[in-house]
Amino acid sequence: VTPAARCHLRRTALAAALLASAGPAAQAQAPAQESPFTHHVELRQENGFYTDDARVQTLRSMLTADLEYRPRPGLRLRVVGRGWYDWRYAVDDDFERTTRGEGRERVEVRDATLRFSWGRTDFALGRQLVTWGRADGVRVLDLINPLDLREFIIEDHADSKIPLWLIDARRYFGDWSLQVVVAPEHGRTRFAPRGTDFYDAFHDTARAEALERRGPRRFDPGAPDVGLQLGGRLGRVDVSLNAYRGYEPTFAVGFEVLPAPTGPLVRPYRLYERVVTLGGGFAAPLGAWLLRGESIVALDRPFSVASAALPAALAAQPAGGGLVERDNLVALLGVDRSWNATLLSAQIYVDRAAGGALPLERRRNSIIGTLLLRHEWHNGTWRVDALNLYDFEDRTLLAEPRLSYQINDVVTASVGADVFWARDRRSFTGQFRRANRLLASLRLQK
Amino acid sequence: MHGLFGARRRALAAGWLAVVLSSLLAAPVAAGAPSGEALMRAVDERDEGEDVEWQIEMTLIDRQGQTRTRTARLYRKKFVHANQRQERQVTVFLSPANIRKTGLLSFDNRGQGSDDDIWLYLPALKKLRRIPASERGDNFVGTDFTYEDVKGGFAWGDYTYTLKGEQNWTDGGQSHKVYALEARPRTPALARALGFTRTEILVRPDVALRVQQKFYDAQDNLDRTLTAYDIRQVDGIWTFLRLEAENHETRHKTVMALKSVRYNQKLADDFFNERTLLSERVQ
Repeated sequence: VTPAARCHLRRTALAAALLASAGPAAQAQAPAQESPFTHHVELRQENGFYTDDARVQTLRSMLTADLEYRPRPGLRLRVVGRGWYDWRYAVDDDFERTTRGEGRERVEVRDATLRFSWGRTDFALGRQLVTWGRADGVRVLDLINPLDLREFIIEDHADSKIPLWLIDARRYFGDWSLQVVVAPEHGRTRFAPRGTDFYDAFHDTARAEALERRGPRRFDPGAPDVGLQLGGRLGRVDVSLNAYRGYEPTFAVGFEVLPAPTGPLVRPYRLYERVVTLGGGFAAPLGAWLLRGESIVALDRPFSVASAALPAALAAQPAGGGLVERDNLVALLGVDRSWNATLLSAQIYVDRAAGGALPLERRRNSIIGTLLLRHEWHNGTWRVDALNLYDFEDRTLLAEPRLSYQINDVVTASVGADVFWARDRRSFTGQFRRANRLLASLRLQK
Repeated sequence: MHGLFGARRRALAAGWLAVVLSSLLAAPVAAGAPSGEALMRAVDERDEGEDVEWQIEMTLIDRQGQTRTRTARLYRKKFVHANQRQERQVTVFLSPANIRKTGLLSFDNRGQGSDDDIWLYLPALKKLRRIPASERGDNFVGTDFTYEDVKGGFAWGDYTYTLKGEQNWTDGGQSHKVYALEARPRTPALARALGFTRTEILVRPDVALRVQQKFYDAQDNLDRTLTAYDIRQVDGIWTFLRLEAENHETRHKTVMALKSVRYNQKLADDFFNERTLLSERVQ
């Protein structure tokens, strides 16, 4: 356990204790409760094996503890902690040396919240996830929690979202609700360190993360990120309108021009900029089908320009860091269909940056198609999931088939594979094309 | 929106119905027995309370006799929306741990002639997702029950009926007179949605409840049997406390035991919306 993780745990425990002592009275609306304390434990063993170069990817033992205390109806304190140890490091000395143990063990608090109701308003205070988006495998409306990309091929996609300390208040008006999220913690995307399996050489994140950081402090209660969601139903159609003003979880690399005896010196830095994002989503039944969509427009999002255009950008706006601001549209349209124990879901995802005089450093137009097929048989004892993502611009395919078997009420075993196919290994996903792997896991939940 | 019937009006209606049915049933079947349609309409319109809460334990038994157990709370309430009947239902799973807190919110729009609206709540992701309407004959969350089985009432208008006769039915050591009738979905499309081409139903007229229903597939093979046991009055409303569904093709069986039943708790209308799932208040 690293000192940072220990510090994090102490901070979480302290905050949870403070929150517990500060809870106001709640309105009794829930049915009668039985025991105020509940606890659940999950033990998971995940084993991954790279097929291309025949080596172990992970031998991870993971323990998750979920503790909940409900002293009275409508008032709830919950703490979910998780820790793991990856035995791969014990059996592969070379890997240990290369990565300095990065990813060998991890301890994190996934949830530490006090939840209570005040009339028609529900509050959740603490470290948590806020979910706005409904998409599978890609993300559009999920603006609040950053992602942990240190290992972006993972068994459970829920694990990739990083919880944040925030206040979530939601007021209900019949079938409508207004949600306000205030986050004093400014989360940042976690990238894989150099030397690890999913290091992003395409974006050279390690080099960029070594640069001077310009942006907010991690905790800044005086300048929190703020999100609003109005959601409800128009007839039988679910709709939501979303707005978010917050710091970008990923950086853009800017350049500062400094005078020097030998001529101007250009010094790069990484910038986390505050951006306003507007968006919305819908889900509409069409007979036996469900049509759904979500879309956002990030206003004046900063982008790095191509290196050839950097002098022009700096000349045009010396204080602008060679960055240009463009509106960025991200949209998703999906259809779902279910029939006896089978779900079929297809999505098309589009990411477009507005044009401008200067070319951007990287292409900002992409189209991704996803196809999800899920089927259960033997009354849910067996289940197959197959999520496939295809990037039409890069011509990259990622297929994630999974087969799971529920041995009993406690134990579930699963096997699966992650299959990459990329035409251009210099593309973002192409760099991971040797990450084809087989997966076997065992999960005990009690 | 408000509850469809007041409890008192419903009780009066049920009493009137029982009197009419009793007078009809006293006669021989051939000479004035109620029609199948009248019987099933009575089943649909019987008093089920303004709202109901079930705490259920579902035991899934496979052909080797291995069992899996799921417990859940189920809440149901009838609404009227623009003079159209709607039934809303909240189901929250309590165990096992891998589906704990998973919730389903469903609006049965049968009275409005449209498909159901269903939302699935996934607690690990804190995600409430609209899902496509299931066919009425689709299995309910991996059990041998169908979505149609776990709804209240009976869509009597969807079938044509043939009254086959009357017989005795024994439950809990007591013998009861039941009517046997056959029902067929009115259209091939309905048959596809329901997952059967004909069904044999045994109805206890004194309580207006189905005690057994057998479902036959397109080849007229017995596909599934649904049987209700332990029928008692709870809060003055006739209620089965055990329901079994057996799939004859897979030889898999689900036993649903009602551990607790509470009627007319005056559940608020806004209990039946996404808040109940998102706040995870049910446990």
